[in-house]
Amino acid sequence: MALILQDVGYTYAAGTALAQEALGRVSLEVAPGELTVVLGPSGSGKTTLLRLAAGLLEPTSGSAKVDGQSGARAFRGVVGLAFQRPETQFFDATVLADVAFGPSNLGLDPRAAAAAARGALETVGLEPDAFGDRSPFTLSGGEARRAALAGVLAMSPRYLLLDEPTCGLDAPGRRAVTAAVERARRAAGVVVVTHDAEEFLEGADRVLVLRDGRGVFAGRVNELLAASTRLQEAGDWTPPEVVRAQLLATEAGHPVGPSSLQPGLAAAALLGAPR
Amino acid sequence: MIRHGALGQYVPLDSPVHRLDAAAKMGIATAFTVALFMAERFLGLAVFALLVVGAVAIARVPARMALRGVRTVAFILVVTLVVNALRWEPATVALLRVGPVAVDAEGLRAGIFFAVRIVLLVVGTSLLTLTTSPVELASGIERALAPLRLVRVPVGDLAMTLTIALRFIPTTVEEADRIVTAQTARGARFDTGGPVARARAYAPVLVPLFFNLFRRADELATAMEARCYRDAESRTHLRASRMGAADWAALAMCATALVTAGVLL
Repeated sequence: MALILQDVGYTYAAGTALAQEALGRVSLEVAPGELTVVLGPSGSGKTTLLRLAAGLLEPTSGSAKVDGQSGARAFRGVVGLAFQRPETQFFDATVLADVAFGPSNLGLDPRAAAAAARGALETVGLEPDAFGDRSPFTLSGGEARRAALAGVLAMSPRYLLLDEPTCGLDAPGRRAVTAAVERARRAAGVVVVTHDAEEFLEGADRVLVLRDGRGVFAGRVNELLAASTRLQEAGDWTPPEVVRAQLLATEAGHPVGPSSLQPGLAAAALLGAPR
Repeated sequence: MIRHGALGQYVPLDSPVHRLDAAAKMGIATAFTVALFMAERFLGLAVFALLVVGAVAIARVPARMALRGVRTVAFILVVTLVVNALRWEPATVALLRVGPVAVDAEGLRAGIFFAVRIVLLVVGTSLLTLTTSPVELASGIERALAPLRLVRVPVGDLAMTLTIALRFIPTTVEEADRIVTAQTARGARFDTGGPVARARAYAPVLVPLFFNLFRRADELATAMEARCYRDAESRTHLRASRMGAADWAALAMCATALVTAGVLL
């Protein structure tokens, strides 16, 4: 049981004069309960990769399979995708009705759809009694982002794809969203596309770094940290501040052991570095 | 900078009018429109005016919101009044004469009658959108059009389209407002010159407005698809609206009373 993209490529307007390759030979795998983080600069193909993983686009090369099945039907209701700008996803009169949109599309009867929506709101930390009857357009940035996430979780997907879930949020909003993602991970495999590596890297099982539509790194977090210097020098990835501090110390002749994402451990490693 | 019109300006309150089913309210609004056009005397208009005032009071909608729609038809009112009041031929008893043009009592009476009828029509039918949320309204229309399913008309998809269209009226106004404000901040002037100059000033607003709306439409469609929307016929509804006994009774009584009043008055 896994969501597997094998050497997928995608070209927009393929076969026309406007053809533009967005992705070429990229692989991604996530199993239920796992967290895969996709990093990369804007325009590197991250969002296209998510759309392929959600079954919204058919790869022009390679294969996309969910639990061994391919084709758009196989992804329906199994893979959920939360987009970057939640305010563009809302259209219903209340938060509860909007969150229940997905379950209703799956044919759940009104009572079951409402129960699924309430459960999803609780998962993301929005009290259904307090938020259910509110207009989604009156929510704050963090609340809107969590409500959009609830709209996807309400369908009980086995795989959850999140596009820049903390982008543009203040610190409390970011904390609330990361906590919601952590809770969602208990029941689903999660793929997070993000620029904010610090928030999701620590708990990640796999990391994929994209650049110009190509995978320039795929591996575990410790492997990513070990490859930080190479990736940074190649301009493929800018490590978080905490890692950069450790790299600078090493560069300055005070080698730090394995880099750590945790500020406390990083500080201890820096203090213990040979002087 | 751009004022909101009455359409889409739902006033969320708890009143007997708000609680009525959308389909019942649409039926009453239709009966009201028919009856209003059947009335031929000022007495009839006076009765309908009392009914409209009563309905606004029961709905607890602020009078200024109920009257807001009248401003948008002010030009039509003036044209109606003037076109009916003016006579090109010498009138028997002219109240006012300017060259070959005269205003007589009969024309003025007709102009006022038609103008009042338009005001009552606008205020009366505005109550429908003021007391019904866009989603309820679309649901009401869906049920009203349900028989068309027999001839394979995609009624559910039409209702979904209507829901989104109604929902995005305020959003579009806000978007336009944002663009106008941004362009004003960069020195654009929208309040000077004649009508042609003003219309021309708005041309640079339309391009980013449409660009943003198309992008937003694309994002919404993809997000709906990602949440498994295929067609409206196969989905369930969280709040399944249905005409209750009270709704049927209200519709029957109001429609009968309105049409009777229209015939008698």
